[in-house]
Amino acid sequence: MKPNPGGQLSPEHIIGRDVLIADMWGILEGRSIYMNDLRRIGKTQIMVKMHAQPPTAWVTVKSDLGGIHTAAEFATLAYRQSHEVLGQQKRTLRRMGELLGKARGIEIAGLIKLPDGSPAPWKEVLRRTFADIEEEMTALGSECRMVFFWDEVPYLLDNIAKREGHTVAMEVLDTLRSLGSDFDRIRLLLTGSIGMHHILSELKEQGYNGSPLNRMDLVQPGPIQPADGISLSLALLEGQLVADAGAQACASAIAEAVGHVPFYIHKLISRLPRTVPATPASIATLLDREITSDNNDWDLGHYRDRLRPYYAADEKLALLVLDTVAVAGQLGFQAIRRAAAAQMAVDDEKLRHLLKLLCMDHYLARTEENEYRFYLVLIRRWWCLSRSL
Amino acid sequence: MSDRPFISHFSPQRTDPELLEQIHVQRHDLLAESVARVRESVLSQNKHHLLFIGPRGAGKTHLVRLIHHRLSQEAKTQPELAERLRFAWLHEDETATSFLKLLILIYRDLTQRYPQEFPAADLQSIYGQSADIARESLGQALLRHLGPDRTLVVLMENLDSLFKHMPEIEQRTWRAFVQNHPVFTTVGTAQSLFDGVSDRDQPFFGFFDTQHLIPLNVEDAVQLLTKLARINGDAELADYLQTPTGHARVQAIHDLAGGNPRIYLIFSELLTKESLDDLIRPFEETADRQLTSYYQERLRWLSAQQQEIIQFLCHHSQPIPVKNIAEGLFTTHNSITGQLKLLREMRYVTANQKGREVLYELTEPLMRLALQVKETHDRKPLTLIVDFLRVWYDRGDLEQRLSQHKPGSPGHAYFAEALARLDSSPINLRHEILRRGIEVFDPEHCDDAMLAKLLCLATETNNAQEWLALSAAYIVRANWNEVISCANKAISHSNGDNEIVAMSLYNRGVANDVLGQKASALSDWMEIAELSGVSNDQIANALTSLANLKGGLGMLDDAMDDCLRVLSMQGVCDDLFASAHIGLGVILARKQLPVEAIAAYTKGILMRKVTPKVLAMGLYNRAVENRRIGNLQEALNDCDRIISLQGIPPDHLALGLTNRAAIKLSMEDYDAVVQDCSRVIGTEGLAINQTARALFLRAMAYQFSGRLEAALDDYERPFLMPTLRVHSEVAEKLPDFFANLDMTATQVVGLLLGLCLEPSKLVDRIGRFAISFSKFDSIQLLGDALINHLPTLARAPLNHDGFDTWAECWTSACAQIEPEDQTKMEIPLRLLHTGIGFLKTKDENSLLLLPLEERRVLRKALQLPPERSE
Repeated sequence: MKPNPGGQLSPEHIIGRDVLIADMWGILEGRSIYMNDLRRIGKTQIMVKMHAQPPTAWVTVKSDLGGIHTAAEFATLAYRQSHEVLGQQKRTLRRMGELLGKARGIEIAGLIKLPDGSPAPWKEVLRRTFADIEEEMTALGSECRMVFFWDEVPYLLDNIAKREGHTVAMEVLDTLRSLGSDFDRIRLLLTGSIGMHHILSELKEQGYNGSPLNRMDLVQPGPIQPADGISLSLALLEGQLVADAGAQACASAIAEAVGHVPFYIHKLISRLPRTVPATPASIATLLDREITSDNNDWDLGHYRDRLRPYYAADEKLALLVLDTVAVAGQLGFQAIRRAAAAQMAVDDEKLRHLLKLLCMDHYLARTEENEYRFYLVLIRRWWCLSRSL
Repeated sequence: MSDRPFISHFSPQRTDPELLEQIHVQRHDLLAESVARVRESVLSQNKHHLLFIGPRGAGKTHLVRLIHHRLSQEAKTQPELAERLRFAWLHEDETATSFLKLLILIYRDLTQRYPQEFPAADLQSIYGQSADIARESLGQALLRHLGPDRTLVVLMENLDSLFKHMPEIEQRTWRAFVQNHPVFTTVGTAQSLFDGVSDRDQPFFGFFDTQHLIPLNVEDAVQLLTKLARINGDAELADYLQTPTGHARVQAIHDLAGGNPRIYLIFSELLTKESLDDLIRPFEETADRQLTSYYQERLRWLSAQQQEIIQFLCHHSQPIPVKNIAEGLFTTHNSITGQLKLLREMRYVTANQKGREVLYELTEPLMRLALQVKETHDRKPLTLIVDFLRVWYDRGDLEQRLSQHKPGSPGHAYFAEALARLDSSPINLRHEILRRGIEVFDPEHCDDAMLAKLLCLATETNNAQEWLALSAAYIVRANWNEVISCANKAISHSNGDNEIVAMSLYNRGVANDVLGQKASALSDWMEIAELSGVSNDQIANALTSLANLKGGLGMLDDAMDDCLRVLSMQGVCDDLFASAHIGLGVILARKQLPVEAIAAYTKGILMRKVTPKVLAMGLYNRAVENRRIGNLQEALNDCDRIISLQGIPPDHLALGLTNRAAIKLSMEDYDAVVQDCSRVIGTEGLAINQTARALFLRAMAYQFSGRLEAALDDYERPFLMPTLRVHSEVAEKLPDFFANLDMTATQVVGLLLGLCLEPSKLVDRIGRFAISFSKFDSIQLLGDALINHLPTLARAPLNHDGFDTWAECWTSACAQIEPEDQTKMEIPLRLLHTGIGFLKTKDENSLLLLPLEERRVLRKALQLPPERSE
């Protein structure tokens, strides 16, 4: 197995997600999912694996929506992919057939046109497509369901807002929300590189007041389990032939240093020198050099830079909290409050709110002991190095 | 020379890929791995996206071309690869402002490479349609013609430029297309990291596996130049490049121009073409065309002050401190520091730490060349090329080459300029460059590259200082004959500088001493003491060394005089005074005056400004003396103090540890012995004598604490040290071990007896030791120990069969050694068998089988009284 940071992996090389995927199929039995986490945590790979290996009775459709620029293109894609997938099972979409008429409208370059040459109304296309799918799933069997794996939904909304205006983007969101709840045999699994809240904030500034995700289950995949992280590292080291007899120790060192995030495991192993065998010490040195060099592509500085736009007046307090937790490793609320209060006046409620936000923005996570730690070990490592803590 | 293979300086895609293979250096692993990853992308669902980062001339296109070449070659013999692999190659000048235009570029290249599979008509059909429709149509056509089982390897040069021109929304479309249709793999290049792939908010963040191309080091450069010379049929140059002087000259070129491979391609042409006339004008024009516009464009992105800094650095061929830049630009240190930080982040400049100072230079030396092309008017020679010629050629070579060019020709102008600069400056540029980095020479940290520089400098300049530095470097490397040779040259070129003569004599004396040429060593150091114009420190140093040497030769009174002379001198540093006190102590100890010796050591130890190394020696010697007279606690205190000293060399620390272990052994604190000795044994780079001593002490600690197998192993380990091959080395490198060898033999025989091993294991163990002792011409010691242990054998819990087994095992084991040594063991074995016969019968008549001399030895060993007749 060769390191492949950022590239596309075959499903059998997507390691450490089986339990989560089983859970997600369980959730999909009842509701749709919005998968939210940091970039490069592996959301797309989870979708790839679910799409490649669905349980019996599930029909899957997967698409990256980042290249879709209009609501009509989006509706056409949903129709076309459903048509293709159901066509393989010798099923047809009746209502859509009626819309397109006996003479059949034509789909040209991603757009459905009615027989009279006018574009098909996108909401109508979506609703009829979903209704048809519902009907066909019911016909296929009592357990049959279809799931749309839609990646880069925030990009889709942003593209539509830019091309067709914010109103259309809001309508797409509302339509998705409605479709997601109106059809029991259809589920959506949505995700994206950038947080949905960025797009929602922008739309809310334009008057949007919906809550499109409130009926969806929110799933945060996070890093993989330590044992899986080490297995992945070991498999990659063996493929790379960069560690000698100490491969197991190196695999552990790598997986632990990057906090068991598969992308970072791939990335760090890809950067190991090829001419000298790696050791746990050389791995730590390399990682520190990688993440702190003037010109690196890990972009962990992002976590420092975005504090100001995210937290504005509370930036100083946020820094103080993060510095304190970074040094301690793990701290309860009272300990954080004491540390903060030693340097500035702190209101308890404000601090609680800030901690909640820091967790939502994936800086921190709560432990089982109800304490706070850095969400990713790698960010903590960078934080300590870059701030000389 | 017209049939020389064509290697393009600026366009590797125009060079035959087989030639590129031949001149490929340094990146063999990267290339092989990249090929493997692309191959995997073609043959499996894993799709890799590789991005190679490096400035212009770093070898990116070279690498991409070889990836393409190797896979194309493989495809010729692997039908599956041939069926599933398709290439599209976007060259460096091609750019696109939308995903549609990128698709068009890719499809157009496919129509040219595979016209049967990708009809050009599909491309024609999209023109005139809306961009959305065209994108959808062309995308579908590409996917249809490619098919689901093939992978398109898209080779994209200057990806940074492409991203710069493509809006983010188009990048999202591109990325979505690749994600939705996993039949693409990308091999891209970029001159530096760019936001499109390294900014977390951008669509392609983390998408590519980026690899920074590392500049060539001097070894790589030598390898590249050698390969180029061989390709060009210049065997003489290829051979010269392998010499230390050749290396040093490449080092100078490297210091001047960095590790950019393109620089060496250009430079190679300068070296291997007999005439520069045909080379220089096309080169200037290509450089202008290929480089100048690019670098001017890069400069335009910068602020006015940043541009000034870059131009300032362009005019300096060496790294510059911030202070000089600020002075040169008439501005403040702070403003320059701020701008340099930004320029570093943008990879225009590189910072090098030198002591407390940070020196800055251009990241891309080609930028200097490009600006010179622009700034050089009236076709005057380019400074960088002239500098290359000055650095590489000596005056004679330059004059000869000048004479080969017609006056007025471009080549003539270059060689004339190089000579003119040679004449106008008293400083030789090559020597100036080679001296960078060795201004503050530390022989302890002189690596091979530095040694080559020194050798080149010393050979070319006959500068006494450089010969002296070289002799010091050879001392660290224990290359004693070279020490003497270099010291002689330093003396002969010293031009009356007695400081240099004194230091050279000192180094020569050290070498002579080690080589056993004691009289020469005495003469060298005595000569220093007679020199005029030499510092008192140098004289004191020589006298102290003399005293040590004389002490070793038994000339104790003379040695004492030398030490006292040092102690009577004025203005000698504390360290040397301390050394003289310690030297005096050693002599007094040899004169069996322990109290006086300890007093002398104490005076040395109490000197105020003493280096940890000298202090450690004082403490060590005092500890030895205290131990000898039974002051164990004082000895231990001194050892503890040595061990706690910061900044002492590992061998001094080892002395403290082994001495403490020896004391603890006498105090029966075996765990402490094992702990200290293990620390010494685990220290890398120690003289093997020290390791052997620690092993011996630990073996005894193991033995006395009942860990017999471990003890036997430690007794054996010094014999197995790979650096020891012959007896003479033992005497030289292992004096302590050699002195203890009889004791080792005694302990080993005792242990072998005590371990009660099975016969086969016993034969094996005895055999190993017999071979070891035999190897060191000491088999007799083992024979003696065997006989001396007969009383132990008598007390051992063995029956008669056990006695016989012991004797048979020794006989079998000794059959494994050299015949000559077998002969030496004949008597001990005969005595052993006879002795055992006596032990079984207690009948002294059984000894009569032996001749009288042997009977005497055996009776003594068996603790029997002499025979009555004696």
